[in-house]
Amino acid sequence: MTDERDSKLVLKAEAALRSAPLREPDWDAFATRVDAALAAGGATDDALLLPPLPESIEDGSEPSGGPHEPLAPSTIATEAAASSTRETTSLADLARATLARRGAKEAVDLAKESLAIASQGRGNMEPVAPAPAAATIVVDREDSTFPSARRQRAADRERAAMDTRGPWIGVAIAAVGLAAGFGLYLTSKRTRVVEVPVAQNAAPAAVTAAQATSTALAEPKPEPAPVATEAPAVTPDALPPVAEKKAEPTEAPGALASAERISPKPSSPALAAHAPATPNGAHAEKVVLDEDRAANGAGAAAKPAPSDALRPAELTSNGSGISDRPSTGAAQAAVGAVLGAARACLAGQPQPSNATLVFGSNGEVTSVNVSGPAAGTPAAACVKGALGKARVQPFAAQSFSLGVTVRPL
Amino acid sequence: MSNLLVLNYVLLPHAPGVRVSGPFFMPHRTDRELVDLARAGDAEAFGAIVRRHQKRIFRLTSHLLRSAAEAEDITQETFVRAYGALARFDGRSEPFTWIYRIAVNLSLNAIRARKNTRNSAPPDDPHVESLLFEARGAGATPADATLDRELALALVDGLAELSESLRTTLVMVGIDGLSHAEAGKILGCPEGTIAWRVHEARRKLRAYLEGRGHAEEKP
Repeated sequence: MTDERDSKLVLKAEAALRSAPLREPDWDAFATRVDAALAAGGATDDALLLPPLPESIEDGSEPSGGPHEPLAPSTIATEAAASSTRETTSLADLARATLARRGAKEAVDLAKESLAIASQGRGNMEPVAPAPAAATIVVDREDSTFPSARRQRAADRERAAMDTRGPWIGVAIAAVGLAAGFGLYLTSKRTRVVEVPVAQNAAPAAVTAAQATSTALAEPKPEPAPVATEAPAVTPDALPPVAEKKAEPTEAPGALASAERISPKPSSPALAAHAPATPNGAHAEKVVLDEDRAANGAGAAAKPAPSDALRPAELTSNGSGISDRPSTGAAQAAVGAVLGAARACLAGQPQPSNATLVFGSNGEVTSVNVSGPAAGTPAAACVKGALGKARVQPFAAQSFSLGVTVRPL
Repeated sequence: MSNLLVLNYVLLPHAPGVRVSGPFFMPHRTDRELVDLARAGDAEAFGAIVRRHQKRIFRLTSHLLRSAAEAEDITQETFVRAYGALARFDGRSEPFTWIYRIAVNLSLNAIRARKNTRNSAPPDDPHVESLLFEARGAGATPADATLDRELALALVDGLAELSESLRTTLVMVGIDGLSHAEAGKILGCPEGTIAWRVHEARRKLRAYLEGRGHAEEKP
C-alpha cells in the first residue's frame, strides 16, 4: 500500500535500493557455519520472540489525519510542561471527547474510569513524581494476550447498540457530568490555580507570578467549573468548555499568563505524569503512559479522535467492583515505585533496555522479560528482580502486560 | 549445489544424537509444515526453512545493519535462535513472520550495542557503498544507473538519520516489500501505525534527499 502523498523521489530511491544487488556471502560456507552453530546449540531468550517495535509514544496517528511530527522521547517532558501551562486538560475534557464518539454504556464505564483514575491518582501519583528522570513507561494499547477481554468489550458494544438508548443516555451524561465535576473539583484544589480571579483582580501588567499565586491561594475563589452536581439533564454542552481558559485573558492577559506559567502541577492525573520533578524543571519526570499522548499531543483539538484500536489499556468495569484491567494511574504508580531499583541495575550501561511485565489477576507480577543490551546479562536478572516487586490492584482479566523502557542511572 | 544449502549432521534438541545429511529441498512443503516436521525431529525440514529464507533475512539485516559481515552473522544467529526456540513456536503466526521477528530483534540489539551513535557507520564497514555491489536499473542507461546508485546511497544515509522505529519499518515495507499487515504482525503494532511510520519516514527522507540535491520529479 503506497500513500499517494508519499514522495516519488523517495519511492524511486527505494526502488533503486531494492534492486541493488548485495554482496551476498558464500552460502555453502554459510551453511557450514550454521551447521556448526546449530550443533553447538544455545538458549534463545524469550525477548527475541517478542514484537521488537510495538506502538509507542513516539508513533503518531494514522496518516489519514495528516502527517504529524513524532513526539520524540527527549521532548516529552518539555512538551508536557508546555502543555501543562498553556492549557489545563481536565477530566471534563476527556469525558466530553469520549461522549462525542462513544455509546452510552461506554460512557458510563468511562465515568467510572474517571472516578477510579481520580481516586487512584490522588493516592498513587505522589510516589511517581520523584521517580527517575529518563524512564518511559508505555502501556500496551491493544494487548493480544487478552482476546477474551476484547471480545467481551465488543459484545458489550453490540448490545449497547441494540438497546434503546434514550434513558441510558441521560443517565450516562449525568454520571459523566458528576465525574467531571468531581474531577474538576479535586484537580482545582490540587493545582491551586484559580485563573479567572487572578486575571480579574491583578493589575493588568504589573502583577508578578508570586503575587498571582498568593492571590489565588488567599482567596478561596469559586471553582472554575460550574458543573451541575445533581441535575440529571446535564449535557456535554453544560460542561465547562475548554476554550474558555484560553479565551478569557482579554482583560489582563499578562496576569493570566503569569498565573498559568506558575501552575505548580497539571490539573489532571494524566498530565501529572509529565510534570517536572524539580522546581526548575531541568529534571523532568518522564514516566509516561500512552493515553497521555491524547491529552498532550500536537493539540487535542487538531488531532483526530483516536480509534478504538488506539485506545490505551481499558478499565471497563465488570460490575463486580473490580476493574477488568489495572488503571493507567495504578500501573504507572506500581512500576514507577520499582523503576528506580531497576534503573540502578543498568548503571554504567550506555543504552536503555526494555522490559515487559505481565501482571497476574492478583496484581502481582508473574513474569518479566528483558530485551535490549541488558538481555542475557546479570543486569537482566537484577532488572527482573526489581520490576517483579511491582504490585497493582487485583483485576478481572487473566493478565495484563506493560512495556517499560529502563534507562541506566 | 550452489543454490542448495547443505546442513549436514544437524543435532536436534528433540531427538539428541539424530544425524541428518544431504541437500534439503522440499518445495512442496509449506513453512508451517516444515516447522511441524522440524519440531517432530526432521532436521531436513529445518534445513529447508533456512535455505528458503536465508537470502531474504540476509537482505533485511544488511539494510538494517549497513554491514555485510554483521548481516551475515546476524542471519546465521537468527536461524540458530529460531532453531533453539522451535518448541516455543505457538503457531499463531506464520513461521516466516516468527523468524523475521527474531532477525529484527537481533539486528536492533546489534545496533544498540554499538558504542557509537546510530548515525555512525558500523565499525567494519565504513561506508555503505561496499554493501551495494553494483546498482543498475533495468534497461537504464549508464548515466541513469549512476543516478540510481547515488540516490540509493543517499537513501541509505538518510535511513540512518531516522529513528529506530521509522527506519526499521520503512526497510521492511519500502525496501523488503512487506505489506503493512505483515510488518504490523512482526513489529507488534496495528497497520495504522505501520502506515503512519512509513509515511513519516518517507516525508523525512524526502526532505533529506532534497537537501542532498536530489530533486522531486515533476508530474
